[in-house]
Amino acid sequence: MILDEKYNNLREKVRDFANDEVACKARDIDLNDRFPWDLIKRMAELNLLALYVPKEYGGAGLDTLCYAIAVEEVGRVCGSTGIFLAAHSSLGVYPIYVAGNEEQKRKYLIPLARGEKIGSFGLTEPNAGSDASGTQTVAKLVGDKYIINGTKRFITSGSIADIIVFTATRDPNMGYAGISAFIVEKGTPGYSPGKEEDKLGLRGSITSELVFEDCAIPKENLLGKEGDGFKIFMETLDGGRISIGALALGIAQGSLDASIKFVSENKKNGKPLKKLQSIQSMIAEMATEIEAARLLVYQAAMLKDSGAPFTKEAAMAKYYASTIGMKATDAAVTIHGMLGLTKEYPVERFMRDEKLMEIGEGTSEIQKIVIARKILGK
Amino acid sequence: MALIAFNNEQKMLESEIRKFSKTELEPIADEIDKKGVFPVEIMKKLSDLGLSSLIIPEVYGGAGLDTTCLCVVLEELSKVCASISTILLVNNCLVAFPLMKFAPEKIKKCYLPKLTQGEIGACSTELGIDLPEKSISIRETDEKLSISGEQDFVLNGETARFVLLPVPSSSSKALYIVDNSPHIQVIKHHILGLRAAGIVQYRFSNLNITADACLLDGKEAEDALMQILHYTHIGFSAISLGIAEAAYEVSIKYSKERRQFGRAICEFPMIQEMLVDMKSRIEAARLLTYNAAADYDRGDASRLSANIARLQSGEAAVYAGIKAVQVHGGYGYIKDYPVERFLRDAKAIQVLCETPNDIKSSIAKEILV
Repeated sequence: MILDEKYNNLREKVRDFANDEVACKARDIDLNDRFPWDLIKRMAELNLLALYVPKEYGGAGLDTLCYAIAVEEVGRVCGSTGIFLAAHSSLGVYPIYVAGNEEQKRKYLIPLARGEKIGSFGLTEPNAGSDASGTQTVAKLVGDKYIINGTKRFITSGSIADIIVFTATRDPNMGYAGISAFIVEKGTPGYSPGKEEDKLGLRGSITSELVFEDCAIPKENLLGKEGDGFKIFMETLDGGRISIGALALGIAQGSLDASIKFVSENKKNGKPLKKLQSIQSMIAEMATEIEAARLLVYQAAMLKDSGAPFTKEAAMAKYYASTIGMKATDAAVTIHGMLGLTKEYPVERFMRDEKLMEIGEGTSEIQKIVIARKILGK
Repeated sequence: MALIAFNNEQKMLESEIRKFSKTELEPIADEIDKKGVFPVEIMKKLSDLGLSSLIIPEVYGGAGLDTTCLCVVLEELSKVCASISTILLVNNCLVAFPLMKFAPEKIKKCYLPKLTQGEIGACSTELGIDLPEKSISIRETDEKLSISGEQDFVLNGETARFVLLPVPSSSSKALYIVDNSPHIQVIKHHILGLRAAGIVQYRFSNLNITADACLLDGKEAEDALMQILHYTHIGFSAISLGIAEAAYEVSIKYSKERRQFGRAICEFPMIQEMLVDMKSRIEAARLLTYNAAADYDRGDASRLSANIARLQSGEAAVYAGIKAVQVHGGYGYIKDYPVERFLRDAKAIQVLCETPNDIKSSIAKEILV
């Protein structure tokens, strides 16, 4: 795909950062469950944390395609750093950017976009995963405050986030219609981050519960109007899916890069691995599918930037990129053989990291439902 | 499945191992994976029950069981903990089997009883790529032999008392047996799966050995190594099968319990499709595994069934692991549930000793004769 210079420049800038500063730390981040504070500081300095947000709100004033490219390039060397970037930009920043009023944008969006504060998004609950209409966290308006009770689970960057957008319902029996979106700040009495998850992959990313116990938040922290929650999180996820597709793509590309290096440097019975047709076949399949995923991800980003509907294309991008990504990362381990099981090579990490891409921000099954609905109608 | 009919002995073995797995293994499986600890106590208990050196003939103190029995044990243990079954596989297929088949009586009498008494034997395995700068070499000086160099993957190496060592020699290969020694430095791997199986790296520094440490060399060694590998494939196939079944069973259970959109998720066709695909592959893997075991026990020299069983079971297990995590959604991605361990173990087993590519090329060679 031929892209404008703007995109190539951005890619070059992020790739330099990823290669020079992230790649050397990725193994340690994974092995020691190290949250990459230092890299987040650097991403903030490079103005990567809100690429599509206008400059007046602290962003880089670029667009969604730039953002997708950045996530792809970071993900190519480190899934944990990539998921932080994707979650912060798409889930922390975006709902306030798209649904916040001017005051909320000034107060919350600017520090988030600049990377002075860390953002997060609380939608999933223990019993409300794919089915967000089952939200049980309750928000009751008492005087000029909402009183929140409930627990969120599997929240990326949850326990370290300074500013969290979350959903709660007026009445758990109302389904989607009862759901509203709110902003809560770290340190608000009654709100506490819950336990952190011990995960298969993305081990340098924090995933935690959010616990609300009679947590009073000011009325002004309602995002949009009451009952707008469903609309806000659907829009947020539409955009978020582009970034998860981009991350799945980046991780897949990383596993291909590693495989190319491995088969170029090693021989079997005196013959270079890259001369073996079985290896060539696997590399060709990986590369072709990755290229197709890239086109789908970029197409979804470009549609979003053009203002056209992109829900179906975002779902396709995420579904396809994560599916072929899982296949590619699995193949990469096979190509490396037993050495691929060790921490000396990044491929087993890529495989573990990639699995989340088929689950987070809507499972592959949910993506297929979204795609089918757009094609077949409700 | 009617094609697989276990005899009474095999049925008893199956229920005994199931009981053992439930009471002894299940409580510790997650923990030993997390900590990467070799399960010394469990191996001792298995040995006390006479279940660790299954295929060793009774004259050497073993259980003298056949390959089908071995597969029953490996499959059942793998449903709970594939690290344990891998240790058992190495002891039987990669240590006891070569000794039984290819060692002189004196060596058999020395080493086989050790295995039956619960000692762990190790076997180093080749990486499938050329690493001339690392591979080990045997030097002859003043009529003494000494080994130097590295072996990246020594299965059971962490706690083994002796190791079988395939060594490249000038013309072709040779197979050595070497006792553990301070001249062997053990370096632990942190690997994707089978984390409690004691898979380590050995560094040999001028380890002196005697001439009778060489069990075979030349063409004989090469043929023997092929036979060992094919026999081991049957065991790997049983382990992959067990992992796949475990991943499937917990997915069935979870999909019945987990409710979304007002119903159990097992009612959704997309979930059913994953369960159906898992089950179909498992049934195929099961037939192939026990067919390969029966072939071997009948004295059928065909390696085709062992290779095909390993290939298909290996793929079935990775598939089942990936889909089991998918059925569990976010819960599948965390260590509160065992499915992410099943996926990691399935992938590790699939590439141990030989990768699917290697196996495919062996199969191609055989079907194109």
